[in-house]
Amino acid sequence: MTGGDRLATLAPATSEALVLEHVTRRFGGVVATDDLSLAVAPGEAVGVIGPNGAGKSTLLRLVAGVLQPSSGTICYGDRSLRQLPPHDVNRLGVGLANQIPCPFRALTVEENLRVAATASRAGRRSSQKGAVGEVLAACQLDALARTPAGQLGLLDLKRLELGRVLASGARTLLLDEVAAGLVGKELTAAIELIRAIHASGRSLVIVEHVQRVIEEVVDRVVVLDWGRLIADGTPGEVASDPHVRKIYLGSTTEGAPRPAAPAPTPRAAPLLSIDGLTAGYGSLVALSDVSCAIGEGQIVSVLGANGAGKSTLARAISGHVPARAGRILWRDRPVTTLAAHERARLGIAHSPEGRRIFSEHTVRENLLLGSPRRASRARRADRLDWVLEVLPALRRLAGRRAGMLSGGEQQMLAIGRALMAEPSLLVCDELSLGLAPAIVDSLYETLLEVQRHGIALLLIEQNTHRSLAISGSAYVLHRGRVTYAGSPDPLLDEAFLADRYFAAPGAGAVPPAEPPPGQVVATSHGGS
Amino acid sequence: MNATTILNGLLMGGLYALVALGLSLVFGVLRLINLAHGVLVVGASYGALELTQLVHLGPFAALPVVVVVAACFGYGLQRLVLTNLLLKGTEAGIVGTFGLAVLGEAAFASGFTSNGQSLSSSLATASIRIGGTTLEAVLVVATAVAVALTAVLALGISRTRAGSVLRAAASDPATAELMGIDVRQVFAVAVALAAALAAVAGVLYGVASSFTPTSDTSLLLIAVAVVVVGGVGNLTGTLVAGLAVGLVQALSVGLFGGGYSDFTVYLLFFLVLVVRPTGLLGRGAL
Repeated sequence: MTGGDRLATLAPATSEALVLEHVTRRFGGVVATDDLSLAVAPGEAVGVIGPNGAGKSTLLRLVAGVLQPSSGTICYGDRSLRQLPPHDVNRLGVGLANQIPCPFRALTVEENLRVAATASRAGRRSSQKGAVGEVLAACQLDALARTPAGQLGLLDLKRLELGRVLASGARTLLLDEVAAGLVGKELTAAIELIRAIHASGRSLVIVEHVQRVIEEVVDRVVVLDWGRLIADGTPGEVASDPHVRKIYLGSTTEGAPRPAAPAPTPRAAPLLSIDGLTAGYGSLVALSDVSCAIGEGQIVSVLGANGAGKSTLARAISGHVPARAGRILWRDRPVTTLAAHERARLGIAHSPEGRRIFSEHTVRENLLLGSPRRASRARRADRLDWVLEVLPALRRLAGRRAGMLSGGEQQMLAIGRALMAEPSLLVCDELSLGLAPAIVDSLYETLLEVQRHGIALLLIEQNTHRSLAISGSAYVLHRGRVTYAGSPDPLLDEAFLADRYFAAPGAGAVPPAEPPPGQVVATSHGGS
Repeated sequence: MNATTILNGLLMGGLYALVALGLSLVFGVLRLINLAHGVLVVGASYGALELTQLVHLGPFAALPVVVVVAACFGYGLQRLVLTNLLLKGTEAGIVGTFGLAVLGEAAFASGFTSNGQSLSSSLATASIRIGGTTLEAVLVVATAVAVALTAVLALGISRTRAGSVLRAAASDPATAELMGIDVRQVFAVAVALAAALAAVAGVLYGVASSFTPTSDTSLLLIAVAVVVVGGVGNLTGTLVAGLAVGLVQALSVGLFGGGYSDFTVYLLFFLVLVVRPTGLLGRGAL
């Protein structure tokens, strides 16, 4: 955050032109990129946007050599990348950074970078050593050089992922949703790093759903839809293209109506109430003394920074994380010690983070797996019909293998599968992560439809504005403790929300020696 | 080498496939190499022997009893022992089943001496003449049973709701629980089924050949080779690989004499691992 001068230590590099001509890639009958031509000039930063399933990730993976085009050519400078495996593409100077970083968790940050530098054979041993140090400094990882990668927080993991690509000697970086999951100051820090990489003369191809990254980094945006390039221009030009607005931005453009907040739910008997819940993994306490309640048919948001304990709360409700203290009541009946499958049978459905669909099963099989064990064939068929009405996009996909679906379709399937169980409560963990705004819009409309059928919703979200807009009440977690409980309205004020995200909880619940807010932000990167 | 040798080799392969079927099921569902599988097979042979001697049942009349007992044993084994071990990781499961195998061998040796035994049945010596060849009837039966059971299981797993649940529990147990699936129960049923399959194999093996308390080791090794060659979690692959192993063994005996038969089988195993690491028919749906 204060590293503007340190970022400048990244040595300049000259990239070469990346040229794709008539690139088509098919997966079976699905055309992922369709006769795609694109040229990225040396030193240019190009944003690639488009709805889920548009072929954005496929494009990056084709360039990186992870996939080979069915037809067409890809050249870097005067070299054709045809038939080159990923490591050879990397050695030419093209590196891919992934949405979900997978460093060697047991190795330290520095060791991870050294592995990348060695593997790419980028220069001699002595110069590699210098390069690793330079990347450490540029990515602001020097203080963490001896920390095992498995202990890094999300921002530092993302920095390490970018650092890995830099250390491998990449002059053209392909960034696949590297900012996904980052919010607030962490997002700002990631954007600063990406800008610094660009400023060093390296060229960037950025696939990103986080609009700030596109707005603040790139000078040119291309839009993909169904594998075709449908627009190419400055961010301003593309944003005003009516066709793009329609396919990509959906109803989230300025001034477009947001889904109306439902009328305040009448005071109902609590469906689920949690009282003084403490839970964790090994020596890590992820939740401490958390209390909350959800009424029948109510929508409740649970917000918080990464590592605040939101997913642990969801998993404690569905029974995957045991409670160490406190209790969970379902319709006034204690369920604290029930196994996950028993809670599911009572009507607690959980659409887990990362969707976790059964990728080898068909869409239809996935849905039917969600239906209650004892349901008759007719009841199952009725329920399937209803779910396909709520999620009509799944109907035409019913026979397809679920692993072939796009991210948005998989998320719909995860929701549909959870709804098959005829639940009274649906817990949605990070529904909108990595999805295009238009897709998220339609998912939120689906959620309102679900609520109209009397199903209560617990939304765990990064996308705070959208979930607050439809919620009857909200909770904010910070380091496993509730720092806000009540009406969602005050949280729409960003300053107040940030305060609840990072500040110490109210009187009485202050953990000993809580550092001041600024410092909390800094340490939460490395800590959780 | 004549057609009779080759065909009987192929049919011996049917018996191998039958022995490997239960191992394949457990491997596919629990990702566990059940090192006690050979002991389950030989245990069924001894169980049938005991019944034939005590109550003078024929081996095939004893079969249903042995199968039911084995299934109950498998169910209890998974619920009471293996689940707790597997929660500590697959390594603990492998070590645990190895311990069980050692225990089983010791129990057979003390209960039945280490002399070779076999189940007496008229089927053991019967033969079927087709064309110019003479086929061993018991191997024909074993192969037919292997084909039938593989077909029933493969169809059941791919087409029925129970099969869908089994595949879901195998691929992502945590998420399957969120669907209300009692994953521990599903796993216990899978092990029970595997033990029942081992029992069927054990009775036919006992009729087809003589067995000793340590026969389980060579059966286990063959079965592991068959499962890996066929593709993990791929029951049809297990059947095909079983037949292939039997055939290769017979060809090897015909060409190089009996001394090289094991060598040839494991050479095949090794070559398949090198050329097609996912097995002849690839990774299965389990």
